[in-house]
Amino acid sequence: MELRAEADRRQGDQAPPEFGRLLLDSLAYAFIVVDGEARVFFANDVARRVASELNGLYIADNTLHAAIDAEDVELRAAIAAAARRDGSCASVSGFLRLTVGKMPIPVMVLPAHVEADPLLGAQRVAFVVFCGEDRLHRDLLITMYQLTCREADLVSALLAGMSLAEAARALKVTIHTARTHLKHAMEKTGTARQADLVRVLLRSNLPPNSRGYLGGHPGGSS
Amino acid sequence: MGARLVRESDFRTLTDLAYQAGTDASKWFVFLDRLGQTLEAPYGVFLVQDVASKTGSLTVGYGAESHRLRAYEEYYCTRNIWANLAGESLVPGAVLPTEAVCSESDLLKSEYYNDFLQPQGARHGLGATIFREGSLTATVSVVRGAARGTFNREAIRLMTLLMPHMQRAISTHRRLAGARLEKEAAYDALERLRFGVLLVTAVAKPIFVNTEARRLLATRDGLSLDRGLLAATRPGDTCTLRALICAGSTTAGGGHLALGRPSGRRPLGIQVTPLSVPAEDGTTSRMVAVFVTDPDREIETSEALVSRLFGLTGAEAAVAVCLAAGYTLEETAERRRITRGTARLHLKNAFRKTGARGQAQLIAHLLKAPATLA
Repeated sequence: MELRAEADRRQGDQAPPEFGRLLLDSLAYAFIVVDGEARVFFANDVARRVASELNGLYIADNTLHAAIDAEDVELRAAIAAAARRDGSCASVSGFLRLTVGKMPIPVMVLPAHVEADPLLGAQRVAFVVFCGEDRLHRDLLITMYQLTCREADLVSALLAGMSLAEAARALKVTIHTARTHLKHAMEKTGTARQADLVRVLLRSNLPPNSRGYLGGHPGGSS
Repeated sequence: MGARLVRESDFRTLTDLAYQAGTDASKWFVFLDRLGQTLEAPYGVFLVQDVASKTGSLTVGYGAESHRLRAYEEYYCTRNIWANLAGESLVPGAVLPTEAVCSESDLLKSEYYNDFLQPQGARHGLGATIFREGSLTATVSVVRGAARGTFNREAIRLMTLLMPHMQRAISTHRRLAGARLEKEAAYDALERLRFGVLLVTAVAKPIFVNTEARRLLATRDGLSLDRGLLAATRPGDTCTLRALICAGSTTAGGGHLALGRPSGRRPLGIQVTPLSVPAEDGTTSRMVAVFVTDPDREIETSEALVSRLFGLTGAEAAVAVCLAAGYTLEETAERRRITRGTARLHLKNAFRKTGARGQAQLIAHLLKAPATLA
């Protein structure tokens, strides 16, 4: 019953408008709301930062562009398709890879379930979503699995894509010590293999934004 | 046919109504009705239109029967000879009687007049372009029959005097619509996240709960609602959780904790973050964000998606997805009914294409993709 009441409330105007944006800004995901012509209606903090700092994806004349021509064509096609749909389905065609910075990253383009006002010049809008910052909430992982600091260092290195040998070198420990840390981390997370450990920890992670942890800044994004 | 002078009180009523229409678009109807009475015009429309694509979106019309308004939106908007001939003279602020854009002989020959206007007894119009951005225009027009004659200078003067007020109504409308879009889009985006997102008050009363958080609350395994307030399933944890939320609502505090689960599953990870916005009355409006992550949440990664994102073949993507779901390579081979050698070959190709140098890294690539987000 309580849950149903919550669901109903969500649909209403109870949720204060400004907080939706603040919630988004607290996360490391970039969200951009565009119309079918890639005109930007809304871009959160992370999106603005990534789009201005790196060259692969940028906002000019209030329009979202990909710097590489072929990618721009693909991006525009995906946005036009998503903005045409009624938001009921998110098809695979809405996903593309764009080069942001030096790395090709997966970018999701989805139809939005909101209808824009005709006086804004667009009836349908789409989202462009991507993980703007690849970060770990290290303290949260430590708390959830009671990892020691060194174990956390090791798993962080593994999650960043290092092999065990590379992680050992980066941590300035022997491969033997690294293996011990790994063994303990696997025991604590209830996992049997390195791949499984990575999977569970990534599932546990809440990517914090660039302020080092999620939000915690009075006054919002100012 | 003598011009009736517009009374000061009519003008004041019309400006009031225009401002009301700025915050409540349905009030355009009342405005048009009053404008029509004042100008002795039985028809009036507030029209938002893309003049390039000729797609009309008739916002409010009065006087005409609804099927005629629909016919206008569906067809006659492309045949509107007045609008078509006016073209570039539809600049913001322009007030034009239809005779200024279209000769009587052209009008009487047109499909628009014969099939649309004439059956309604409409002949003379007066149009005001309130807004234009690119090809998007917003106009207010009034139309009347041949008997009442053309709109005179007094009518044009009234429209011109109303113009700044109608324009302010449009900019108010656009500002509010933009804010509403931003709000709705932000909450819609939050619904799509794979983590639980809750917005709660200082006493842990939820104001917004996204899809994933609703799922978690419903399972009552770690996190639940107790008399409408957010609580942990293990009694001791509730105090810690609520203390964090309460601290987050008054200071720049916040923090994280792990919530144990009666089912024996891995704990839920919780991040509590204070949020605040300055309110209009000078005070600060505070809420607390609660983000929840469930390590044991089964997330289906679509093979088609993985193959598209990373340029893998279907078979390679299937192996990668199985590994990301927690299966070993042996189990994956078994599930896919392929030999271990074939599975290993697919995996090797997947490594090459994703740039991963091991299973752990491949899984990291897959799980970090926003594919897991929706």
